[in-house]
Amino acid sequence: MDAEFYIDGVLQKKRAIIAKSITLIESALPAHQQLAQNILDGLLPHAGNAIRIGISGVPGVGKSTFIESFGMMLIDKGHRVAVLAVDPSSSRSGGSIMGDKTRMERLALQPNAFIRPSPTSGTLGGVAKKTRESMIICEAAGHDVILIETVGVGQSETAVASMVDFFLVLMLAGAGDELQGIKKGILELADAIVINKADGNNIERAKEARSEYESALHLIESKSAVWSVPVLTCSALTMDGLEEVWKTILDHRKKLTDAAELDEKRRLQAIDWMWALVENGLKDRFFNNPLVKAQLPNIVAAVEKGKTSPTAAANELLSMHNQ
Amino acid sequence: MKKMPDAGGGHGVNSAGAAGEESQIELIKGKVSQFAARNGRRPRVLVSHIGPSGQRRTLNQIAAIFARRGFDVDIGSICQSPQQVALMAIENDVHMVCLLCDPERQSQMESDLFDVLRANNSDDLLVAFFGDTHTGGDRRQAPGGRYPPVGIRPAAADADIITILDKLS
Repeated sequence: MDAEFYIDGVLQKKRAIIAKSITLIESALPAHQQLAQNILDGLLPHAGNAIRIGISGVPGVGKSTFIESFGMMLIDKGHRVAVLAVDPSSSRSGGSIMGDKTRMERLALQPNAFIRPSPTSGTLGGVAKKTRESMIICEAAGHDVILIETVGVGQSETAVASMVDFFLVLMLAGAGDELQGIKKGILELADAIVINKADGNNIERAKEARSEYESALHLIESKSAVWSVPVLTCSALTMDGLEEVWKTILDHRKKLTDAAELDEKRRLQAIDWMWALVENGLKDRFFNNPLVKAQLPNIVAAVEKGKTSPTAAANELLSMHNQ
Repeated sequence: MKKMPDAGGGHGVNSAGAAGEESQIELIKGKVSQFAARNGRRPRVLVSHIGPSGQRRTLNQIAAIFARRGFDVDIGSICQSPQQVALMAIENDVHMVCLLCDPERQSQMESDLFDVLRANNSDDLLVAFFGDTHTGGDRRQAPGGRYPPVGIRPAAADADIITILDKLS
């Protein structure tokens, strides 16, 4: 199959072809990667019009349930929704287990929804690259809202924040001491903080948490001249507050567009993307260098045993790479 | 069941004991790595359940078996229809589907599943049925799929997974 086959299939919104195109993007084979690049080149003019939303939060905060309810609300409004998941938590020895889709049972059955969890094993920091490119495929297939789910740990949230228009951080109520533990970093990335599970007995606590987060946000310098980060409450279970979240995202979009900040944001993200690709490419070349490949186990062992200093070892490896 | 001369004497998981199981797992991991090197990604399996009643815990257990051996695993839901399973298999672009289902309904489910897969030009995946009542190895020709369906016996899961990997490769 050539690139045209995939490009046509994606533009015709054929689910199986969209899925296979994403597989090509995720593949480690050079031939697949070349084909994927040709597909992306053909699809790029058809992409870029979606609202890109990143959704982060610690495990247990209810991300999948939020996406299920929020996604269904958007489908009811006539949107085509794509969900991509960036999950860095899979173990090194085993494969990945991807179970989030189970909690999106209604959304998974919608003809206007496409949900694709991606395994992360065996890639060299390429997760972000693949997610960005998968997003292009989904946009070209006419999905006008892209939800990118990420676990609120490690570097994945920074990576996701750098590819979306709106970064939403889900939190839980009962925050008092939890607030202490929250990295300042994630508040700096957020375009909105949403306290989930604000239902039943939890409503009062959610309101308290809301004002605590609001005061915490005062300490953080605003990223935008026209947007101050709001704290909202919602219940993905009862759907309460989800409408408000969507209005907030649209309001953010309008304000940033009017101030020409959205264009600027996407331009800067394109530069970030370029550097991320350069970084990935350098890493790939380094690890594929035959000299490095041959010597790496010995050098690692020497450092481990204390026979070679880390600095000397790094210099040796880099000089091999330069040869 | 195929004899596995290099898989701990070809015994099933239970009879081979812990050491035999470990060596079979290592053998599978090796085959998984070879698969990944050839195909650009690990073998990806959707574990799901078709039928009126089932236990989620069993799905999680099967998922853990595959993940520990290096597969990428999508966990589906219990009580799915063949259409639902097919849709998720297509969207996640898996190499195989591992199904829990009532043995008596197996043929019908399989046929319904492949109807949807074929309609989406996606019948190039392997369907395996999990359970003691299903025989290991080939059962019969699939109704139009590229691979004949296979059984995975809980007591000899590793031997059956090796057979499957040899087919997929």
